[in-house]
Amino acid sequence: MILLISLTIAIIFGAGAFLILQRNLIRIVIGVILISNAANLYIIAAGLSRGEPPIYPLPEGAQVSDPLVQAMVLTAIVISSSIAAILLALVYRLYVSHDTLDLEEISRAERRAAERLDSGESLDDRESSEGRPEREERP
Amino acid sequence: MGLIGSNWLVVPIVLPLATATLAMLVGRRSAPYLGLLTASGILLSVAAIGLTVLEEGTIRYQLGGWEAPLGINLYADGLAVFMLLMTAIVGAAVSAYAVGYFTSRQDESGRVAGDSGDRSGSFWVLWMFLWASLNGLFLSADAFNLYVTLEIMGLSAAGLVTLERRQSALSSGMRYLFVTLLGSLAYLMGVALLYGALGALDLATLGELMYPGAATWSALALITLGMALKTGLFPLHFWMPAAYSNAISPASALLAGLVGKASFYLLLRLWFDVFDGGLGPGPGQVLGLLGAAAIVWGAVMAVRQRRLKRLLAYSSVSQIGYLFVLFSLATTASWGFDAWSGGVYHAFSHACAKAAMFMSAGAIVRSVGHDDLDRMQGVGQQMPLAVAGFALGGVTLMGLPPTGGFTAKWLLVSASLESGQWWIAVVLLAGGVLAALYVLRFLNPALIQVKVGPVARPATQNLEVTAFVLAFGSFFLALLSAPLLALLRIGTPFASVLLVGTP
Repeated sequence: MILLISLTIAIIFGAGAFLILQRNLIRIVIGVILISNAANLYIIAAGLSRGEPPIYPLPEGAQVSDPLVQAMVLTAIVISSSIAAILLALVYRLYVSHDTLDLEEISRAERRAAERLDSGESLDDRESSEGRPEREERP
Repeated sequence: MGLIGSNWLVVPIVLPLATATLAMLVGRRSAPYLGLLTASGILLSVAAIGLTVLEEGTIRYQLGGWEAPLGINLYADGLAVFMLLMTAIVGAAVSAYAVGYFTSRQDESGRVAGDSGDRSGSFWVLWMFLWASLNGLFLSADAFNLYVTLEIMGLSAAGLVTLERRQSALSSGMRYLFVTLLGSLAYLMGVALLYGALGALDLATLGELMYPGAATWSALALITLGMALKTGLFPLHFWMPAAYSNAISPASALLAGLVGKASFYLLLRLWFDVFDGGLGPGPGQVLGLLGAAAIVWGAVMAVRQRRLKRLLAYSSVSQIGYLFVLFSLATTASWGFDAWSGGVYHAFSHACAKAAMFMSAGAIVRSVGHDDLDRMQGVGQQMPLAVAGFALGGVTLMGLPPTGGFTAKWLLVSASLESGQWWIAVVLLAGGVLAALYVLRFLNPALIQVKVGPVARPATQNLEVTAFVLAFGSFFLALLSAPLLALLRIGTPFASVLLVGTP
């Protein structure tokens, strides 16, 4: 059982790490989500070796499996789902302003902007010339 | 209990949390007043907690009355109060600064007004969440609760970075969020390993049960890696320059001053309270080496920058190196307290100085419209107070006598000489010289006497004054060394050594 769950964690973590190294932002976000799920499984695994699962009819006096890890994982799941929401919202804003999800292209655009700044344009609070389009909260 | 009951420990956490929620409801007009009120409330409660800890020793509070192995404890010792105090002082200054920062935006043309007011509202909400998570992080005595505060901290800090309207801020905020998430996930896996191996989450219980073994070593490695990533220790600092220089200036001040210190504090807490000096001298040496490399590399990169805020960001890379040097010095007990308190003291003085420098840089950028170092001639005549604040903060970074940086460096250098690691002393002193170089990169053009007119958009007095006051505080921080070091002695992991009689 321990071997099985550690293999699962390893595969999920590996897939997440692979996706994080990609150029497409959506893939990176999915990678982060996979890694956070691997971490959640990891916590569950931390409580696996102690006691018996409570759903199984237990003999008298047997120790029940640790409930604390499950409480922790619930908290961690809530946190990771909100993180996913925020990441996707940020990716959406980037897509709206750059018209691309490719990390390389976004950094190229930024380097161009930085060069423009260096050549003497003012670093102002006003919108840059290619600026982000007007806010569009309701698509 | 004398001055206050132990349940007062929740005040610095609950107060900003409540304000954050309220600030969302009341909207942008009242949010600044609410923020200032909360800031003064936190200052008062932290002062009360600090006095109580000074008089009566450490305070422990059991949330909901549940006892340690099962429930979550809040715990205030000297180190926690020290960090709370740092956060309260820098936080109050940044709050006062932010009031001016956002109102002066609204005074501009009507086009900008609506949006900037909007962002002012979000600033207060995010900043109050950030403050609550910082205070919670300093007070928590539970490994999983620390993870929750870490996540709140990372999310609100990334939100603060993306408040700036330029495009580059959006993507650097997202990079920052990725990095901080990976850092806290590594921490979470470390906590899971610790819980699997030791079956506890309370830090004190973990410290008692700690034994060297495969699981605890891997937990130490994961947690250290995650926190080094979040703090921006060389060579994991790659996200820092963009995030710090692209954020709005109050947010840069908070990030550089406080957020980096929080993950460092967590590392400090776990290494010396839980992992018992890093389970031997080896791992500490690695962190110390990386810290020394960061001091030199960050300073050299700072000297080479052409923009004021990027210069400050690289200077942070360098200053964070000083914090990590303590890990290679404090692993040996007899001079451990010197090194440990020197590093913590450096965190305090750097937080004040760097926040003040970002604040004055923000005032300057606001007024002259750019942060190009080559075009800063005569800024000293236009904005004397902001430049003076920058200079005072810069002197603190160099570590000259009356400043807090001096006390910190004195303790670190004497610890490194006593422990026979003289090369660390050389790096520490060289870092001070390089700091002088990059501070002068700005001061030199700024103080040139040239004919200048008044600035295009004069900043409100508030911005320059708050930056100057905070820098002034960091400048004279060494005068408070005695009470602050006495505070740090309370509940320190090196307490047993102190009884033997180091001065």
